[in-house]
Amino acid sequence: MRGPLLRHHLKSILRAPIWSGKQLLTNLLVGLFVLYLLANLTVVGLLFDYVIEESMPGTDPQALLNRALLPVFLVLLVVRYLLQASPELRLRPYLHLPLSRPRLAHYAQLTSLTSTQNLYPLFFFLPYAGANLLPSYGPVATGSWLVGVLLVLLISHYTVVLLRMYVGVRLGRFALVLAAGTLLFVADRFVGGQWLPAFSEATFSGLLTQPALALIVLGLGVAGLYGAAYRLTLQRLYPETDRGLPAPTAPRFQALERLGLEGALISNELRLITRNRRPRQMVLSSVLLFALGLYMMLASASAEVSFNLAIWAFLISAAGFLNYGQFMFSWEGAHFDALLSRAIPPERLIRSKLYLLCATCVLFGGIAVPVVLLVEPSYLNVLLAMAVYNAGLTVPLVLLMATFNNKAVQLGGSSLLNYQGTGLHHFVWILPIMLIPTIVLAMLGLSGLALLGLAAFGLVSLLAYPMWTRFLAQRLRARRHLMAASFRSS
Amino acid sequence: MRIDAHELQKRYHGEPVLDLPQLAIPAGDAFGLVGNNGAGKTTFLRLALDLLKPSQGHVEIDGARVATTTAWKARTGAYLDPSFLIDYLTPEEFFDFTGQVYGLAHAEVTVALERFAPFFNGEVLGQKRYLRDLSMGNRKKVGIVAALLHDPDLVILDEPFANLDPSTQIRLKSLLRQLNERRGTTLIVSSHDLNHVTEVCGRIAVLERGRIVQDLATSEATLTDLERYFTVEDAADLP
Repeated sequence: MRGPLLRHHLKSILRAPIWSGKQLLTNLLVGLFVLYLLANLTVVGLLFDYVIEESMPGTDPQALLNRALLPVFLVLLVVRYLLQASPELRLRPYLHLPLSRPRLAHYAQLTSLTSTQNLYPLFFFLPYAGANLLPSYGPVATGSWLVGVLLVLLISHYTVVLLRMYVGVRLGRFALVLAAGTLLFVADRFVGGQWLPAFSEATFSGLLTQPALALIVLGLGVAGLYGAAYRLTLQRLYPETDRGLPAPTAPRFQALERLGLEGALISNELRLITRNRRPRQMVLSSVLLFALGLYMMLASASAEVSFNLAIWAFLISAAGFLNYGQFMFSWEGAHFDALLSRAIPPERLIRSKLYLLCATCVLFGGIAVPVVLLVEPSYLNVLLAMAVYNAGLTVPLVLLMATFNNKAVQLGGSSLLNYQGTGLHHFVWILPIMLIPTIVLAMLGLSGLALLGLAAFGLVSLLAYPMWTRFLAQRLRARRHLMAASFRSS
Repeated sequence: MRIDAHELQKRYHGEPVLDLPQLAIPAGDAFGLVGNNGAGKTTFLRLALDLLKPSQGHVEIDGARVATTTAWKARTGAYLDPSFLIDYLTPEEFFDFTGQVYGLAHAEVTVALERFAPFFNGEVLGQKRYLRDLSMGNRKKVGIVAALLHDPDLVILDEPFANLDPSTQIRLKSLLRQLNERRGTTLIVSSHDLNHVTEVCGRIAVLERGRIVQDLATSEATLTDLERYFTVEDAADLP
């Protein structure tokens, strides 16, 4: 029975909606972009030693790579967490059939390995090993280094499988994992940010000098994680209904409802987020983006790298609403008619959404302030200037983008690899909104005057919220029939 | 095949949604489950198929506990909801796979499908469409036929008549009655449609808040009795 199941897995990949002709142009562009990135990875892999020797004379490229590998794998865990699917989700149609559940659990573990997250790193590591390691270390050491890298990839893979099954969509558990990650980061900073690179170097250099020991340790790690993931999958093969989840934790947001119609609308939006899987996952991914932005900003070597600093500072306060906000009306596509037919003036609907997105910006920026103060106080001015700019200008711009959406977003299902209701244009729209302030700020060199100007720009726009509200309401009024008809048919 | 539930309970957050101290469905019975939304019908079917873990008690099929044995699966056919379908397969591929799982060769599947041709009404096979692209009604037809493909001794269906067109509903009723009467197949059917369920099932249990409150042998008066039972007193006052 393994054959048909594996064929099903292959078909599920080849017949995924992404290959359908409905969005052929978008998919073609995405495909070309992916090919370009893979080609880049291959070239970097082939020329790695040369590039490092030219750009950082006196640095041992191999040692540099070995030191960087584990930190990079850790950062990529975040990306994996967002993109890698839980294997047990594929098993539901098979559960009532006379098939052995342990075998199904093994099948799920093995087929989950075909994730693109495991494939694209090979486009760097294989050419790198062939062009740079093989001539210096010979086939045995190179082979063991490559096997070691593959084992670390498997460790990342099964760590994420376990994390996704453990955390699921539960906010409490997610916060626990995030807190553990933050603790790791802070601990690393307190010991000078060296232990992780040092551990990484010991592991990967060990693969070249003492391959047997390093491979055994990594192999045991993979076996342990595989076993744990297998056992957890087996336990989770009873698909509980929503009623089987722990008691609803969604607060009733009563305080908000006392604030009038806008409060009630915000309260409904919060219920939409907390009670539906897809928006909930999008918010979780926003939190991860925020954490990534914060880490990358604080890891920036100095304020001289102004573009990096500006873009991460932008993302820290915008992470909460940049993605979610684009779909502000599409989330409510299933009941948009109900919104239109109720006595809800468009101005008040727009105001509620502006307030919610602005509050998210303030919240994310506010959480980052103490961390930045603790680790790198000199970056605080960039963070605050960007936060004021985002609250003032980026929020209404994102809401403006939301009025262009003509597709309802289905609230059920996972947001991972789920492109229903989304398109390439959502990514494209974001680029100017994100890059214009970032590039301008970087060109001005993050000077005090430039930051003040950016913040002032944001503040003026913030004070102009009533004007934004009228403009966006007018736009909503003009497009309401088109949006409602499109939402109904999507 | 016989089904027994012993001290069966399913609780969510401490609240029982199903509480069946004892339920016996002898082999060859056509057993209907009716009840309002949330009465526990689907929960019972899921527990019977080992898709849910009971909070207490257990279900047995032919004396073997469903949670610890698997032999019953080979002689059982079920369709509860679209999660039983593999939506990226075509109907033909899905039937072939289902047949293979139950030990049927491709030729046997083809012959079996011929029996169901009137049921499909020319709308399912040969359409070159994936299951996800079929209408709700046609997906349901595929699910039901996949459950019946291997001539099971026990058939479990949840709301089989919903989403089907009137002609297919009539065909399905006739099909289920034939299976029960000619082959002695045990049927467990849950439905909100009192008309259909009384026509198909010889025994009907009414579930209310997880408990069986009536267990009736179907007679000419059953439909009237059930309609009376489900008539809400204040409904008569509605304009």
